[in-house]
Amino acid sequence: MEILTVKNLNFTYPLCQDAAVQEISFSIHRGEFIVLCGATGCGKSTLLRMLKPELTPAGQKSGEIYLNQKNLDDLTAEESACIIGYVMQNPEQQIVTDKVWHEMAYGLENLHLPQHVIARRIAEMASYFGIGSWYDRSTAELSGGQKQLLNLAAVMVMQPEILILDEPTAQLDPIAASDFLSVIKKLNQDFGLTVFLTEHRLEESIPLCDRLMIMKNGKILEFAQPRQAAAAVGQNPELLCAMPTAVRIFLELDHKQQHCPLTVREGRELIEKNYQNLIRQLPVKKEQRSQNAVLEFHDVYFRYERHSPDILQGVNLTVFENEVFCILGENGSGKSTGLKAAANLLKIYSGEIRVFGKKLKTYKGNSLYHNCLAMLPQDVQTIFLKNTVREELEEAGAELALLPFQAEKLLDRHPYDLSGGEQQLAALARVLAAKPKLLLLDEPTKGVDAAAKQKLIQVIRNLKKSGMTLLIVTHDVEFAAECADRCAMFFRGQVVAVDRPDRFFSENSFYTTAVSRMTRGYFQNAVTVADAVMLCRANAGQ
Amino acid sequence: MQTLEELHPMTILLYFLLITGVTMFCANPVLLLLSLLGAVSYFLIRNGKKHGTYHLMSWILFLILSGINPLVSHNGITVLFVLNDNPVTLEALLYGINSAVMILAVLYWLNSFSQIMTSEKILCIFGTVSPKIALLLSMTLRFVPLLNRQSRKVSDAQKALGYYQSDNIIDSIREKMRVMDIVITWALENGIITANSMEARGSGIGRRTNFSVHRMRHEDRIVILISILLFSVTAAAVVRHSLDFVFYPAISSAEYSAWSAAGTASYAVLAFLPGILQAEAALRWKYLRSKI
Repeated sequence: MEILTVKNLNFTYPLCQDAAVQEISFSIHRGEFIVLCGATGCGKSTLLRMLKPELTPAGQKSGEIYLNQKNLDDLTAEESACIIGYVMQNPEQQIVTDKVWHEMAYGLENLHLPQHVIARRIAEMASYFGIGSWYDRSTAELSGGQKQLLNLAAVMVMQPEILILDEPTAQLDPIAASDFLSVIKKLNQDFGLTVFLTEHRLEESIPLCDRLMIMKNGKILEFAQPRQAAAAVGQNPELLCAMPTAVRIFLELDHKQQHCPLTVREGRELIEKNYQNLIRQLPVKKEQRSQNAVLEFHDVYFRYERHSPDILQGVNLTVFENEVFCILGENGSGKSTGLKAAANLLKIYSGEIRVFGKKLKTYKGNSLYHNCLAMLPQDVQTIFLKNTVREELEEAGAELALLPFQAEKLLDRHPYDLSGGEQQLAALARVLAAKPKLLLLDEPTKGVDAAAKQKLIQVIRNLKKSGMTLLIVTHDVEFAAECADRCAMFFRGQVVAVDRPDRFFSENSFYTTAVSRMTRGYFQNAVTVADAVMLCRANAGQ
Repeated sequence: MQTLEELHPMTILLYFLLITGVTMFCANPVLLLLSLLGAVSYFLIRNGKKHGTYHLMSWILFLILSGINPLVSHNGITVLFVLNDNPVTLEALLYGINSAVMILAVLYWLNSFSQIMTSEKILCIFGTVSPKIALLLSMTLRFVPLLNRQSRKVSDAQKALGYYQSDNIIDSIREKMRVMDIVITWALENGIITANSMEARGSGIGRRTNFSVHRMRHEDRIVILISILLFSVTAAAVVRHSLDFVFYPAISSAEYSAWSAAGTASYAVLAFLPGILQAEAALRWKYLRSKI
């Protein structure tokens, strides 16, 4: 039975000429798990917001939406609040109250349910989600993953029939994101809950879904079983880059007649079935590394308070001139803290940090931050102080012509209105104005969609070409594999491994790229999609 | 029986209102001394040897307060000595000490109160009055640390951009102002998301419930009943002038009577009630453990 039917839906924002959503018609069955994907600005969020009356933006709308055969406009406020659950991208800002238990009660309080009903529903949901142990905590103390889980639980207590999620894992680290997705899948299977999800991170969500909807320029390009839909992406670069690794390899190698693989296992089968492994390894590029150390950590120790545990426990690290150095590691392993220490934003209590051979202490006043070192923080919104990007860049004295990317489109917009990827670029432009020789980036791919990530990788390569040294802290293994010269693994405040990405990722078995897991034992040192495709082609040519 | 801090917030509030109410509006030195003893002992039971500086500062304040009155007030008939042509009297000195006891007692009670009354207990009390105010308070409590954290992040980011010299006062004031400016913009921008999230969960549909994790239990009713009973006896004695005490011009107190004895005894029990509850809980655990 259909739970949701959309007929000829059109929507145009005020003062806009083009419709954000055009001629959309589809229906979803009860209990289906639908993933919606598409490039940023294709109308995904607009479509989702149209499905939740409280969040429907102002503008010109035509067409009908039916929920349980009832027009969405005829739902009462209570029905609409309960039946349609909606979770958004930003974990922090969706939380309303100060305590976890109060946040869970919030929606039920609004419905004016009696105390004992609220108590029972919260108790049930807290047990189901494993929230019991942090039930009494302040919401501010929670990690990003916990916050998002709380947002989900706070929606689930209202017993929705359909759950709409707008990029819920974009701000989470990969482990928290994959935990979150598995909870969604569990809800879908345990309760037959209908799920409608948009994602940047399709690697894990596409294998979970029953049907995949692909949008382009406000229209539905494809809405079918994930294998069919993914195969239909073809060579469309904007959409292709977001697809799971197996799909990308499949499409790059152009296997029209076969089933499209979705998971690592299926990707492996595809490769092993169709290609021999006579050529196991790509020729290794000769490393030409400068021996000039740009940034050195010698036995660096740091803790926030006198009685708190050490965050950095004897970090030793050397970054050489003109290399892209990526630091990976779990949450709380001290990656970001190390970066802040290098930027002199934290005072280490033991050890020594040298920047361009000079001790950090010897940089007086602002001299460290002029023509020397710059840092792009994790939350790039903190960079902006002005109302438009243009004002921002003018104040900083940035020269647009010298930027390694096109920034013209961004100039007249408010920094907060930009998409995640655009914010990252605008902030980068701002930071580059100080002409740094060493650039520190803290999780530049957080909240950035796949197409923008490709652009960012290009920008990083251009910066390297111009002679800059980059130190990047990231959770994103695929990103690190694409752009790093060397990678390091942080664990409990120490550097435990440093190596070239091809060796680094092929020796790691969990903390590694999908391609490396797919080709392990069959090919050697293949870590990126390009590596795998090249090896397959080379073997096919044999 | 539960200890006082484990009881319902309303019970706690009522107890502290009663105990400090008598302390503030009745100048009888015996009652004030009982109140001070009760307050200090309860504070010590809860905190042990911690908060040493608080004790020290309190007793310094006590000495100052008791010393000031005889220097500025020259009422009273018993002159102790003459200072700069002004008589210093015994009555004024005793009055000063009495007032200092009162202030110290109230301070100790309030300190315990603020330790016990966590934000969520205060919210629970407001919630019974108005669920809307409770929600507003709760949102504020979430928002303040959030704003703090954001301004620290912005300030760090700006510092790393090389904008401000850390050793220049004017620069650092300018920086603070700019940070504040942008953090407010940030709060307004991101407030839209919070507003959306509230609306999506049915905010403003109609009347709200106020959900609270606290429940009124049997123990609460007993403690409330006992507190009100004890308070009523003391209050009745005060109203009947059985506990009157006059310092000026000469010290005199109401005659000893059954009422004054009952009032004082009731107040003594009231003042030591939290301590008694705490001791009872500790003993019960000891007893339970010996049985295991």
